[in-house]
Amino acid sequence: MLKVYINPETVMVNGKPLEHKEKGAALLTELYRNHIGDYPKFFKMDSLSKLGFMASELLLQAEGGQRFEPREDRAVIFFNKSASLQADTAYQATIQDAENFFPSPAAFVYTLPNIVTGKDDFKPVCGSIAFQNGIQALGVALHIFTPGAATVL
Amino acid sequence: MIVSVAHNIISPLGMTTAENYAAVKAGRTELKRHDGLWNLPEPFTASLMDWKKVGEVFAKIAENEQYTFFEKMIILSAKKALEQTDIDPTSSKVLFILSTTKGNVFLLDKRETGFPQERVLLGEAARQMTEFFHNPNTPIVVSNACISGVCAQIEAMRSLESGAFDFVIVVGCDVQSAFIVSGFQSFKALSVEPCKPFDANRTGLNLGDAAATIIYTRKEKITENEWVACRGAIRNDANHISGPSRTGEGSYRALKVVLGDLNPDEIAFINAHGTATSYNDEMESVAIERAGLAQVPVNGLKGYYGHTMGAAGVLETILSMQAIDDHNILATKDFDTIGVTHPLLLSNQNQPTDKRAFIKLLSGFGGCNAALLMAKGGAIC
Repeated sequence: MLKVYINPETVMVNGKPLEHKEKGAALLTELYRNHIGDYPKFFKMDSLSKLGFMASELLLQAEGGQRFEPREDRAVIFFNKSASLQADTAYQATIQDAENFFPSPAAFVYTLPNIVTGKDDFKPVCGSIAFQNGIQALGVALHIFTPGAATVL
Repeated sequence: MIVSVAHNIISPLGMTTAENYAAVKAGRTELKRHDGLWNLPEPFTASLMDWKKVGEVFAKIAENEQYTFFEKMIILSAKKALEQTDIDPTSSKVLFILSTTKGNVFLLDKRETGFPQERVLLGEAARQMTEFFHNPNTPIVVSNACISGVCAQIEAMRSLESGAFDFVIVVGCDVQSAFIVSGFQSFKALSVEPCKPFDANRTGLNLGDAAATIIYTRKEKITENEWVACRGAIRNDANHISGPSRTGEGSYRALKVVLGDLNPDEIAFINAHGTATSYNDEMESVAIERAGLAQVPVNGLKGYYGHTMGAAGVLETILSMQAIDDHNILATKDFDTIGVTHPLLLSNQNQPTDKRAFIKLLSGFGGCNAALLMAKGGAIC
C-alpha cells in the first residue's frame, strides 16, 4: 500500500517527509514545480483540484506507474466535509451584486466537487464521492469498498 | 439481490410517483419561461415548485420555518416513500443516502439570513433529514455532478451487499436558484425555449426542481413483479472539464459493464441522460452505438422536468420502472427530427413494450458517466 499525506504544513510520501519551504496554497505550487512541471493546466485549477491533483501525482510517482492512461483496475474514492465550498463562495461573489454581475464559467465549473476526480493524469474507472464528517466516512467507505470491488463496479 | 420496495417523486407535476407518471404519460410539463426571477438579467425556462403548496403540505408534519426548501423536499419525499412500508427509520440497520449536486447552496447569498451558514454543508443538510426521522446513522451524501442519482443507487447496492444495512433510503434532490441558473447561463448551456433532447433543433437544457426517493433492500427470493437493481457502473474518461468525450468513452465503458453478456433484445429501452445540449446528446448517441445498442429504443425525460440534477438519476429510474409496469416506453417530449450522428430509436409518442428491463444512463461535467441496469423479476441479472 502506498500513502501520500498533505496538510498545509507537511507532505509525507510513504511515511517520509518531502522537503519544501512553503506553506498552504504556495506549498502546492512549490510541489508542482519541484515534482511535476509538465501539466500547465495545474495553474487554472481551484485549490481543491490542485490538492487532489498533487496527491494523485505523488502517489503515481511513488508507484512508478503510467500516467494519462485509462485504467480499468483503478478507482477513486473521494470524500471530504465541505465539498466545493471554497469555489462556491468564490462563484457567489461574482453574482452577489446586480451592478457587478459577471458570472464566470471558469469559476462555475469548480463548484462541482467531483471535478477533482476526473483529472487526466489519472483516468479512473470511477469517481465515487461521499461528503460527511471524517472518520465515519472512512468507516462507511471501508465496508462499502471491499478489496477487489473495483473489478465488479 | 437488491430490490426496490417503495418510491416517491415530488415535482411540479405531482407529489407522488403515480401523479408524476400519469402527468408524463399524458405529455404534461411545468417547464415555463421566467423573466426577471431572482433578479437574473436574462430570462430562462425551468420547471419550478410552487413553494406555497409545498409549505401547506409540509406544515402537517413539521414547522416550515425550521427547514429550507431543499430540506423540506428531501424530508417530504423520504416520508412519502417510507409511509408505503413498515420500515422503522430509527433502526441502525437503515441508512439514508442523499444524492445532490448543490444542496442548500442558495444560503451563500448574503440576502439569505434565516438559516445558520453551516447548513450550506451537504452533510448538515442531510443531517436535517436523518434527525427528522431519528435515524442513528450518519447519512452518506453523494455529490458527483449530474451522475449523482445513479452513483447513490450504486452506493445503496454496495451498502446492502456488505450486510451492514437492511434498508437504504436513496433520496435525490436539487432546488434551483440564482447560483445554479446563472452558472449554466454563463456556460451558454441553457435553452430559453423548452428543451428538445436529441432533436436537430435542440438549443440547450432547462433546469428543474424535484426530489425523488427509492428504498432498496436485500432479498434472496424475488417475485416476478419486483424490481431488481442488477448492475451499476461509473466510468470517468477525464475528457475535458466541461465537455463530454467525442468517442463517448466513459459512457461506452459504463454501458459495456452493465450490459455484460446480456442479449440487447432483453432491454425495453435505454433512458438516456438527454439534456438537449449539443454535446451531451451527441456523445450518448456515439456511446450507445459503440456498445451495440443502436437497435434498442431510447428515450429522454428532460422535456417534462428539465434537468433536475441530483434528483434526475433517481426520478428517471422510478419513472422508467413505472413505464415498464405499464408496458410502455415513454415518449421523448417535443422530439421531432434526429439531431445526432448515430440514428437512435427515439419517438415523440408512447410506445408499447412487453420487455422487462431498462438501462438508465447519466453523464456529467468532469468526464463522469454512469449506467444502471434495472430488471423486473431479476431473471436476467
